[in-house]
Parts: sequence; structure tokens; C-alpha cells
Amino acid sequence: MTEKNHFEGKPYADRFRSEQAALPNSDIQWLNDLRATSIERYEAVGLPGPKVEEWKYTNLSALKSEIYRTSKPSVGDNEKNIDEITLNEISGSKVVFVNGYFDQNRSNIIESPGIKISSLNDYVKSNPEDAKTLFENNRSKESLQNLNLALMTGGYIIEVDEVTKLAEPIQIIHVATDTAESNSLRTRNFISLAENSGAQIIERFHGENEVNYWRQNVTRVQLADGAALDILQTQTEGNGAIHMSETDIRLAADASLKHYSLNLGGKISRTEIKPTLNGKHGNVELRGAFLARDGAAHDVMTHMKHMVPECESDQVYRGVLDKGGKTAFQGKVYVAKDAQLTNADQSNKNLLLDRNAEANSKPELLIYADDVKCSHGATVGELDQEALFYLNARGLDNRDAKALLVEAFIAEVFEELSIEPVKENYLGLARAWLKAAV
Amino acid sequence: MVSTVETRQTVEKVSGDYKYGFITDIEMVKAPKGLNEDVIRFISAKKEEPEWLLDWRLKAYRHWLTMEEPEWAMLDYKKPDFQDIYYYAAPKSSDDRPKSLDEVDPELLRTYEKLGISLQEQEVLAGVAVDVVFDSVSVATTFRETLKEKGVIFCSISEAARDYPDLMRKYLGSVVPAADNFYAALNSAVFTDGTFVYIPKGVRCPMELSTYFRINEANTGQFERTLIIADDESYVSYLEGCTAPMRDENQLHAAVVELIALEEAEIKYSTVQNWYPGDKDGKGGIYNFVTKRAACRGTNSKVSWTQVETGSAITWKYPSCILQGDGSVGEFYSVAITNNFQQADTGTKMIHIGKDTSSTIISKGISAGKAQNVYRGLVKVMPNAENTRNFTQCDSLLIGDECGAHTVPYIEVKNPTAQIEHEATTSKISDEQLFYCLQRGLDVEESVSLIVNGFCKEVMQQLPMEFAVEAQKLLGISLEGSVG
Repeated sequence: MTEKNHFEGKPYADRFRSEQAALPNSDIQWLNDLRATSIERYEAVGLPGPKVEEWKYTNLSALKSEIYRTSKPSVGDNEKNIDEITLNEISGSKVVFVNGYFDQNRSNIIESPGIKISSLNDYVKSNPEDAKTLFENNRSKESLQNLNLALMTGGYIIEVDEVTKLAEPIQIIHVATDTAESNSLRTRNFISLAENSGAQIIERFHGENEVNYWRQNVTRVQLADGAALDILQTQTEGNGAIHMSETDIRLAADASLKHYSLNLGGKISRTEIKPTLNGKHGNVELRGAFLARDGAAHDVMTHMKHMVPECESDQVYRGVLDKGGKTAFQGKVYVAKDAQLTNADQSNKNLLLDRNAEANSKPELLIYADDVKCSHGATVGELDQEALFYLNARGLDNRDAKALLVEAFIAEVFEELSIEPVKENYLGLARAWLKAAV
Repeated sequence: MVSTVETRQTVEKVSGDYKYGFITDIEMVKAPKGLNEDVIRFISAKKEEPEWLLDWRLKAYRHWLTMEEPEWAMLDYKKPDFQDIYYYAAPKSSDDRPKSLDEVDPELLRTYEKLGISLQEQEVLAGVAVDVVFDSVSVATTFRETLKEKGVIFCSISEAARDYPDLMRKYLGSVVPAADNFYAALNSAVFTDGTFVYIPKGVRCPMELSTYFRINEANTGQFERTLIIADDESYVSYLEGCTAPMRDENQLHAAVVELIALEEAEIKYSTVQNWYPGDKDGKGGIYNFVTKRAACRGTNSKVSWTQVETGSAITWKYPSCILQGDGSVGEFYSVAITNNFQQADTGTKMIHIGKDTSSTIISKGISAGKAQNVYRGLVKVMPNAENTRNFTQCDSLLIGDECGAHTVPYIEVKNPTAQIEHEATTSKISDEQLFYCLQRGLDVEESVSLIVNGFCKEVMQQLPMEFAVEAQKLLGISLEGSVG
């Protein structure tokens, strides 16, 4: 059975049944049960089709025409790829995933008091009770989340103790190699920060061009009172990739989250960020830029839930669309009935560089409390001709002038970023992309 | 707090609640309850319609049977039982349609006088031509002769089907196809009357045209259809008003409005919607499920929608513009007020197809009591629509902590030369504003009314004078009892 407007769930459920025995930790019975109930839940709903409101702009028919196989641990040479995307200026721990599997040899986990970084598959073996609770507390009704849970091959768990503040950011590197052709790469991660702790996580998704793979990365984050987390993502997947990344963050009182993302790669890319403010004086900042061309479609969906009074959230997203690029921003701000004195802002601006480009924007406000300040703004347009002329008049040719203006348009997003190497890296990636564009 | 409650009660006593909630006792002719092909044939026969129109209705009905009621709107209501409604109800006396006002049933005239629309008076003094629709039929149309001299056709849609079949066949369903959506299909199958307007080439309609809709009978649905065609270089301003008696059950109103503006033509369409909103506990009230759409077919044509939505238990309405002609202009000005248990999901669609087209959307939503108010809008720019421009502003005002205000805009752009801007804010009446007014001797209700009127001013200014006064009063009444 499949829900209305959804694609049939059976093909992936069948795939699960044939692959089940080969999945990691398949000797652990409770995990097998968890996987089995998850796939049942998935099958009852199916994959969301274009008539499902939240998937209106993201076409998943590619997942219907080809049924991806779950990836196998990679044996090939990936040093080059991994080196390429590692930020060497950052001396913190490095956690590497190749084709959805944790790679012990290429990772470098630095022991440090108050912080524990583990691979999900190891954690399941060594702390079965904790792992069970983790999975149980993070159940989701969404079919794709259940598919991820059923077929996950790896992931990481980061736990930070009270008052511990990480000196250096942790780097998480996800690479897909050319052996990932027709594979699905599913990872599931948990981050939990105890009272008044702080951490920064740099997360990078990268893959080979011309390889057709489907990455699905799911992260669940718990921030206790006063905890502060920065997540800094870059997505430079290969041009054949379907990239999905979903981050669900629950914030207690005085907790704060900063989430930065830059999307450049993949043929279909979907970034979902879902913060829930459960304690007073929580603060969320979301910043992102998406740059698309040549048939790539980048979707960003944010779902900001203000459940309690006196929290703040702010979202800034910028899209640059070149020839054949398509984007959709679906931002939702929900303010619950008693969440008075909420401040919530949202801004989405899109720049179209070519006739053959498309921008969609749906900034939504759902407000059930009266004493709030909420606003959103959205614009779509081309480069300001007067600004171009101004630069032309000062001797810049059209190409340079355009590049300068677009760079400024994107730079605004990353302006407040405090980690200099990451900021430089963001701008460098954007610059390289623009060079090919204008 | 005690004093504010007292103030509120006094105000309520003085001004009363819904003013138009009375019932007129008039002998009616009705079709049998329920919906089937025979009922449609009955309506068609009553209207002495041509064969093609009956076929058109039946086709719509058969398609409707295959459709499902839409659920995407943010509305919570008990779905109407379509077999428990009278689809046709007409005052008996109008079986022979009156030629002039003297022949109209005096009871009907009194009804409209109570509503503040004295037909005679308007004929003599106001200079506004009025078509009056009572339940399912048009009962009177004033000023027809004066309009005829100019070549303007202003009549009920049933008459138009008989007298102007060519125009009807050409344009009926050309903007809102019979199978467009669930309620439009239902309307196409069972529409009973409505207004037809044709403004010939180069004519500026000498007066405002206006239709008043009134639901009177219990258990009836009102399904009217309005078709306005503005030929090349013509202009018309059209007003629409509606009221209904207070009843405990929910009544269904599913209308379709089609506007067609040809070369350089301009249509201004204003609505003051004041259907019965239900009582304080959310009992009764009209379900207002309306499809309104305009096609700007000619170059430089213009359509402007202005709406003041104060009534109805549930409103589901998106007056839209399809901007086909190069340089065409679409405008949408809306004030939607919901109080008590009212729910409104309303907004607009601007579809830019032609070059150099522009659109403006100004929407003001006010939510009080336990009401929910949604703005839902789409701005779409097609690949060939060069140099389009859109400006959208949606502001919401919340009064009280149990209501909700929501904004759901869609922006879809496929042409880089487009310039699209969207802005939305949500806030409440600030204590400073209120304090300022109180300090100057206004009471709370007056202050709120003043502030709300200021909040809506941009939209109110768009209304023709006759309506602006009424609308302003309505704002005050709708918000009664919301402060305290």
C-alpha cells in the first residue's frame, strides 16, 4: 500500500529484503528489528511525489526509474579526493566516510577530555542500550527518514560533556568514489551537547563527477541549556549525484545554533534544516547560498519551530542560477500559541544570470501568537544594470564586473563567520564556480 | 480590565452584532433537495436555456463527480453534504420577471431597503446601476435603459444566455474552465444566476455597476456566476456586495467570476463580502468557496481586484490575474478580517505571460478572537515574460493571543529580467499606539478601530466612494468584542 501522491514503496522495500543480511551489524537482533519496522513504515507511505506539497519543487522520479543498491565498503584509492577537501589549517579531529562507511585509517580522532567521537556501527555494538534509546527518541514519521534508518551503513556520534568547549572544529568528510555508481549512501549521525558546552563541526560532502549515486545523510542534534553549536556544511557532490541532507536540531533554554551551508554540486540537491526551539532565549541563525547550473536543481527547506516565548531566529539564503540551474527555497516559520515575544526573520534573494534558469521561493509564516515580530522577504531578479555600468565606467570589463557583483551578493551570507579558513574556503569555492559562470 | 469589559459590553449593546441577519418571508419555488442530472435539467429548463448550455452543465457535473474536495487550504470545517442542499430557490413572484421596479414584489424591495440598498432611491439618486440576486435568481436590474444607449449590456446571466448566445458561448468558461477545480465544476453544473456585463469598444461605462447577492432560504446553496467582458479600450467599475440571514447551519456559497479585458481595456472589480460569519461560538455562517479569475488578454489591459472580506465562517478565495497581453497590469488589494471562529484562506495568483507585464499585491490580514487568517499567493513568471515587475506586501495584524495569522507566498520565476519583490510582516497593535489614542480621549474600541483603519488604508483607498464608507463601518463592527 502506498499513500496518495506517493511513489510506490515496494521497490526499495524489496531491495532492503535482499540486502538485509549484508548490512553492518546484521548479527544484532534488536537492530534488525529496528530496520525491519522502519522499512515497513517506509513501505506504507512510499517516496514523496511532486504532488506532495513539500516536494513540489523536488522531482524524485529519478529514484523511481532506477532502484539504487546500498553501497559496499570501498577498497579503492581515495586519498586524493580526501586530501583535496580537507582543511589542513584546522587541527581538530577528522572523521572520514567513504561511500557511506566510516574509514578508520583515514580518520584522525584526537582524544580530548569531555568529548567523545564514535562511529555509529561501533557505538551500536559497545553501547547497545544507549544506542537503542537514541534511535527510539528520534523516530520520524517521514518515509525517507525511515528508509534511511532501515538501510543506514554508518554514521558518527559526537557527545560533548558539560562546560566543555572544543578548541578546534571537528571535520567530517563524506566522499563518494567512482565505485559508488548506482549506489545509495546512507549515513545517520547524532550530536549531543550537554549544558553550557560548545562545538564547531565542519561537514563536507564530496563526490566524483559522472557517477550516479544517491546520498542521504540524516543528523539529529540535541543542545542542552546554554549549549552552542556551529555546523558548517559544504556540498560539492559530483554532477550525477542526488544529495539529501537533513538536520533536525532541538534546542533547550539559552542554546544557540549557527548553521551555514554552501551548495554547489549534485544534479538534485536537497538540504533540510529543522530547528525546534524548546527553551526560552534560544537562538538560531541559518545562512546559506546555493549555486546551480547545467540541469542542477538545488532545494533548501527550513522549518523553524518556535515552541516557547522569547526566542530568536534569523535566516538568510541566497541563490545564484546560471544556465539550466533551478532552485527552490521553502522556508517555514512556525510560532506556537504561547510563544510570545518571538523574533523571527527570513530573507531569500535569488539572482538569475541566464534566460534558461529558474527560481522558486516559498517563504511561509505560520503564526499563532500575537506578541511577535516576524518578517520575511523574498526577491528574484537579475544583476542591477546600474551597478554593472558603474563598474564598467571604472574600467572593469563586463566579466569582472559581473563576477564582483555576484561575489558580493554571496559574501553577505558568510560575512559573520568567525573561522577564517572556513570562510576563505566558502568564498574560494564560490569564486571558482562563478569563474565558470560569468 | 473590568472597565474595558464594561466598555466592550456597552459597545456591543449599542451597535448590535450582524445587522443583516433577518429572514424575509417570501413564497419560494425550489428544486428538489439534492443533486443529480435531473436537478440540473430542472434548473436549465427553468432558465429556458439553450441546448448547448445544458450540455455544458452536464459535462461539468459529470466531471465534478470524478473530483475530490480540495484539502490543501489551512481550513478546518465540516464538509458540506452536497445532497442536503437545495440547488435552486427563487421567489415565486419573479416567475414573470418584472419589467420595472414597480412590478417587483414589495417584500423584496423592503428586504433590500433593510440592507441599505434602496433600489428606487439608488435609481434616482445614486446613479449606480444595480442587479439584485436573491437566492438563485436575479430579481431586478436597474438603469438598463440608460446603459443600453451606450451599448453596455448589463443583465442577469440567464437573460444573457437567451439574448446574447454568441457572447456567452465565446466567453463562458474561457477563463475558469468548467473542470477547473472542485467548486468551479460544481458551480458550472448548477449555477442559477448571476450578472453578465459587456462593455463595447471604446465605451467608458457611465456609471458604477453593482450586484447585491442575498441568500435568504434555509438549506440553500448560492451558486452564481459573473461574466464581465470589457472590449477594446473600454472601462468599467463593478461592485459586488453580499449578505445572508443568521442561521445555525452552514450554508454554501460557491461562485465563479470571470473577467476578460481586451486591448487597452480596464476592469475594476470591488467586493465587500459580508456573508453571515456565524455566531460567537462558531455556530452557523456561510462557507464562501469562490473562484475568481481575470484574463488580461489585450495589450495594456488592466484588471484591479479590491476586496474587503469581513463575513463568512470559511473563506476560500483567490482572485487571480492571467497577464497574457503585453504590458498588461494586474492589481490585488485585499483586507481580510476574521474574528471569533472565522477562518479565511485567501490571496491571489498573478501569472505573467506577456512582456512588460506588472502586478501589485497589497494584502492586509487582521485576525482576532479565535480566528485563523491565511494569505496564500502565487507570483509566476513564464519564460517569455520579459521585464515583468511584481511587488507584494502582506501585513498581518493579530489582536488577542488565541488567533493565528499565516503567510504562504509562492514565487516561481523562469525569466531573468523579472523583478520580483515580496515582503511580509506580522505584528500586533503596539501598546504605544494604543496609549497614544487613549490619552487623547478615545476608548479602547475606538482606538483599535482607528488603528485598524489606518493599517488598511492603502486598500480602502482603492474602493469606490459608496463602498469605502460601508467598508470602514464594517471594519469596526467585525472587530467588536475583540479587545479587552
